[in-house]
Amino acid sequence: MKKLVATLIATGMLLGFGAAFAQDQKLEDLDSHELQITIPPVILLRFVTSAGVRVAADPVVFDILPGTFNPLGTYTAPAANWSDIEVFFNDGDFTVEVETNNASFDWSKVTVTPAGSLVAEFDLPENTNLEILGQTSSSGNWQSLGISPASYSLTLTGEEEPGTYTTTVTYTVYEF
Amino acid sequence: VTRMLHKRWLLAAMLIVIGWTEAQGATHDLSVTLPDVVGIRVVGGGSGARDVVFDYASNPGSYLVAVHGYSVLLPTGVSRFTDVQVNATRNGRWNVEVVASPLTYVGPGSGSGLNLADIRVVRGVRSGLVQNAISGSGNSAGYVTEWRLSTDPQRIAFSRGSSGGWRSLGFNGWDYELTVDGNEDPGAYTTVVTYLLTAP
Repeated sequence: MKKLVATLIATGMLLGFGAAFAQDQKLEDLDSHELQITIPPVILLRFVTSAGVRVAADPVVFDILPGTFNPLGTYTAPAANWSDIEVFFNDGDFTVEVETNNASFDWSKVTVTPAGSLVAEFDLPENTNLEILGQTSSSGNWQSLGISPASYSLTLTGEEEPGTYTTTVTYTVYEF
Repeated sequence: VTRMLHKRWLLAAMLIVIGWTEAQGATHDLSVTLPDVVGIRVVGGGSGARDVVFDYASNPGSYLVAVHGYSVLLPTGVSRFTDVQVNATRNGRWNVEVVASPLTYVGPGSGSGLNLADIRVVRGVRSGLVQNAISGSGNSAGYVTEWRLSTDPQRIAFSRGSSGGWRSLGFNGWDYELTVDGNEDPGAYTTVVTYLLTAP
């Protein structure tokens, strides 16, 4: 009799636990989707204002008037509509070169002294190209070269003939 | 004659009683017990991958504009993802969570610079969907209006009781957006986003 009672109690407890378990059973469902992102490789160079706005660069002009002319003098260029050159690259290392497109003048007499430490001082090349920034790691953001019209200076040697000399100065950023 | 009529009436009455008895039916109860169910589904017809795509390989200009912080990048394509719906019949609390798998990367770099947290969902902002799955407020029901993806599950909605059938959570693939800052390695990134409905 005791055995029967114990069996019934045990069975009752098991049923009770089973019912409780059924009531508290955790239910769940799920569904999924994929998400794909493609980031493009980008390499760019631009002339900007102090506000970072891209502009078509005005010329850098050394307009030496007779009253201020010193045949051995050094002249700085006035401000223009741009105040910096910036590069952008998001895919490894890059370099920057500068070139002029004619030899009508000894363009090495024009020295560029960038602000900041990224680009060192250099003289413009004469009808050729010059690497002004060696292998540099991309930061993934616009990086300032520190070059503005005020960075340009012209040093005369007294051998120059009067006249107007013009060249196009081109800066190019390359993937290393 | 009278006795004959009485016998006929008696016989007719017996037949009626017998007939009536034969028309009587037995009855039984019928019981249907339906279990509690919870369901969640990403909705969208057709076949093929169900995905949200940000493909800016052919549109670096927009990428650069976004890098400057002038905008966020929006999906360039959404497939089979027009809504997320839930159905709960349980007379108790239920939660909706979102979790994403780690980003996988294919490209020339190391895949650095882009994180799951750069991907945000703003409920209904571009889809125009309005959620109707959650009613009530306070401790009984609620939902968030935006969230960023993570490998850690995040609760984005909760409620109690029946949802009243399949109901919208108020967003779809067009409500995803991507924030970039330019330090992302170029290439292709992929994750799987899972929405989970649980009734503890």
